[in-house]
Amino acid sequence: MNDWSKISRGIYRAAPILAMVILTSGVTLGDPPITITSPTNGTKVTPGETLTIQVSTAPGTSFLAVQVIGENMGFAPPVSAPPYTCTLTVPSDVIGSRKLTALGLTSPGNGVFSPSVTIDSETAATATALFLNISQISFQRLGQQMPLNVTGSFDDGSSLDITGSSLISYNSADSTVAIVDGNGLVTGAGPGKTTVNVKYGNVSAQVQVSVPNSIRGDLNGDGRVDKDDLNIILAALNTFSTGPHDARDLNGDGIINALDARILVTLCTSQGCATH
Amino acid sequence: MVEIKRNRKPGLYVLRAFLVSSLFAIGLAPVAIAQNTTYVYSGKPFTGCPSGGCSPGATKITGSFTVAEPLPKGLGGQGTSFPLQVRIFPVSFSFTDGINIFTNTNAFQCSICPFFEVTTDLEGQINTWSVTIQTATEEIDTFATFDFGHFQGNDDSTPSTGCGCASFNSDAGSWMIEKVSLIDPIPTFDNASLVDDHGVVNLPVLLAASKQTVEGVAADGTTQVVVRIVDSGGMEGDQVTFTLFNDQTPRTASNSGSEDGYFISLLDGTVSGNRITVTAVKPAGSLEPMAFTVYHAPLDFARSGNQRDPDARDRAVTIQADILGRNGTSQTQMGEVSIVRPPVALIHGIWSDRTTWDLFAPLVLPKEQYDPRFQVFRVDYRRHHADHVDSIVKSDDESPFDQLASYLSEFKARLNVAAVQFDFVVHSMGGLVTRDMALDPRFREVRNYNQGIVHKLLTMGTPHNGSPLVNNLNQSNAACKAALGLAGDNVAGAVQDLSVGSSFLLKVNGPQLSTTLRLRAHAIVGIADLNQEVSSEVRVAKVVLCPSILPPGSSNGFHDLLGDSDLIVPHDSQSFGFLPATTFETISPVIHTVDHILFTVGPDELNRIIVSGSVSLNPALTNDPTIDPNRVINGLNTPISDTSYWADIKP
Repeated sequence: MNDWSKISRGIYRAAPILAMVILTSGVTLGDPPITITSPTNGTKVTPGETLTIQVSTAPGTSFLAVQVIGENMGFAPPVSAPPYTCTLTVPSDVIGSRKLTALGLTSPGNGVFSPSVTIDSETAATATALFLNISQISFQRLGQQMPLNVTGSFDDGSSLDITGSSLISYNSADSTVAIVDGNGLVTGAGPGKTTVNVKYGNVSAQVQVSVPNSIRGDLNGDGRVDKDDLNIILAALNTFSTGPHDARDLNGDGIINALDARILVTLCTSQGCATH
Repeated sequence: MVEIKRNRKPGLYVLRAFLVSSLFAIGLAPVAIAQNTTYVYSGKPFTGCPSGGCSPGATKITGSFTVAEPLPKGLGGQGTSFPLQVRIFPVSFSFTDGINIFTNTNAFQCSICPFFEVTTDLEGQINTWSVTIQTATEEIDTFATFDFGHFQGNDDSTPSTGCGCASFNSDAGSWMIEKVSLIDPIPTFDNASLVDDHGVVNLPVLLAASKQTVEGVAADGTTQVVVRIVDSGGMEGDQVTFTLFNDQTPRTASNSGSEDGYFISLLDGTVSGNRITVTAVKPAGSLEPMAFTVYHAPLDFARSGNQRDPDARDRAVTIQADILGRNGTSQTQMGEVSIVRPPVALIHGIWSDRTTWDLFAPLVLPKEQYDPRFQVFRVDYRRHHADHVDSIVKSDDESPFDQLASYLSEFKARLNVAAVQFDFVVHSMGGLVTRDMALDPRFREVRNYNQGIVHKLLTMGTPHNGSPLVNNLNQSNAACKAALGLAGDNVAGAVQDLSVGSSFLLKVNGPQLSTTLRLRAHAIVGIADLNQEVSSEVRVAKVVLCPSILPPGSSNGFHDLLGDSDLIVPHDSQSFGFLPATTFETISPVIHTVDHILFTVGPDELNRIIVSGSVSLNPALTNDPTIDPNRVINGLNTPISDTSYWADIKP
């Protein structure tokens, strides 16, 4: 569902509500005046399924109308009298947890909302392949983040964005290098390389993640600080740096000298500063 | 030495030669254009000289061999536990141990001698080898392999009258390919080790040491690569003339820098048309003299009037290096530069995500596939799609900058090219996200030569100057906003920003701190026809929850509010700032976005219609040039130099 289509859906379906005006009375403070009793939290539904939603109201309350609003699903047609049984169809492209909220209209432009109920929309089809938005993430720095987006191809011919599915799992092979949350957000945690695995049903996909070492000292850009880098400094000993971007001038004093070489040795990534 | 010698009996040589001959035949299948390639070896200093005659720590094996074409990448079974060295047959070679010289003219010839076996890594670099060359009286060996995961090797020269030195450590030498090499000065976004605020640094020691070789460039008019050659056997002061040739048949020297790219002087030399002559230098730590220049990418991939480019994925130019030695010798090296299209970035709009492009065929195809001519990447900011545009741009978890940086790295790795910019294709608010990025300090950086990350910008339905409809929504009653928020579409910062006269729009459309920064852009303006307007007005008339959306009592609601529009964004806003008028095009009948409640009559700007209440692919033939995706492809194929098509707009 895309941008303006959703707003128009909401506007259009909610329209009849304001045509009826009945003032609310007798609401007991502290009690939810309106509650979704069915479905309950965690109920599994399928895309395209038409839900029957039961809404109860607290004793002594009355509403102009009751309506259910679904996150990314639009608005159920309003019901003006008890029992408040609403129907709402889950769009065919909605996968993952979504909230349902009941609205009790008390006056034009005013209403009360129920506590939300979270349902989980998951396709019954079997995934045959996963497609990721990227195959390798080359972070520039620690703490940088990159969202993974996952498209599943299913045996019923459908293709769905399953990034937020409850059936999908994201795992980092090395959490000291990269961590990934349940929504597929990858964060660079430490220098190195690792793999983030994405699994849905019996299919999986991987993305390679690399987090740079401290770039400081890696003068030849091979991802390591070693004797080759040291030799670059030694070759330019006692010369002026070319400016603030001169990576050889590790202490930033404008001169490439033994002090920089000593600093580089402390940055070596291999024992004895050996080349690999 | 003894152990290694034991493994290299002549009988084993024969067996190896027999076993690998078939592999060699497969691995070195003829290619269309043979290109002599030379591999240069630099050994480690000998650690001992049991027979005397050499200087431990000073003499070593160096040399090179030339094959008729580059060795295949992964030769010998890379990726297996035990890559098998493959015998090769150089057309010429020359090695020395510091005392004697072993060449193809004086080496002993037999079925297994001289003997060259190698494996190559996935970049085509030699990573293990076994080389034995004998003359009538001497033998020279260099050998390296992975022995149960440990890299080890040695160099030795068997004494007759030769050196008699040996190196037994695991610190074997290394090989490099001698040809015109291209070095990406920006190997990663975080390691701009060869560029500074002035461009590529003029430090030979750094240029010589870089290992970030690439095969080409993206034609974005900004990317640069260092051109490097090794002047083997030459001397400092040798004159090297680099000449650029185009891809015409027959190949001719380039006469268009904008179409073929051009050289930039780096250390010395003056560019004269398609060539530059520089002086070979010997960087500290280098064994051989080298010469450098910089190649600057063409302005765009598609060239004016070229019939092949629109359907091509890549094209090429050739760099020829003619080396004139101070001692009168001369040699020529060649190198091909692959020229590819810049990557394409798709940016969605408000209340949306990357799936908004799912039906944008034929540019976007199912299962994360795209028109094979283009490398397409989708930015997704679904967690922030209702936020202020500034907040979207500055977000940490869905930063467009960071996403694009990751995508650029992927693009460069896929094609093994240097690149710094994207062609942007944007819908609705995505255009303002892109323009706002251009105002961010991260937009112009050393790593993009301070030119930003936008090569070309194609906007569709972007409210460059806002929309009165959004003003009305922003001013609607609390129930209207709350209901939309519960439906997942918050009336929040983005709606404020898209309102006519918003502070955000004043920022992006107002005077900028930088008067030089412009984006080269083209607008595709969607216009609804009367049928689409009336259809939606009838439906909107029934809406009373948000009564201020359209003027009450109006019989021509959309047109009274917006004038010509896509039912969301006025024509004048979609084309705001695009001058002359040829730099935007109108398409009708097209609306902003279809849905099954209010905007049911498509197609929309994303190539969709409503069928049986569901959003579906526009059935127009994918080769119909009038549908939006093909207009976008046409834009991507329109040279950036065409100022009748491209406008310079403020970011």
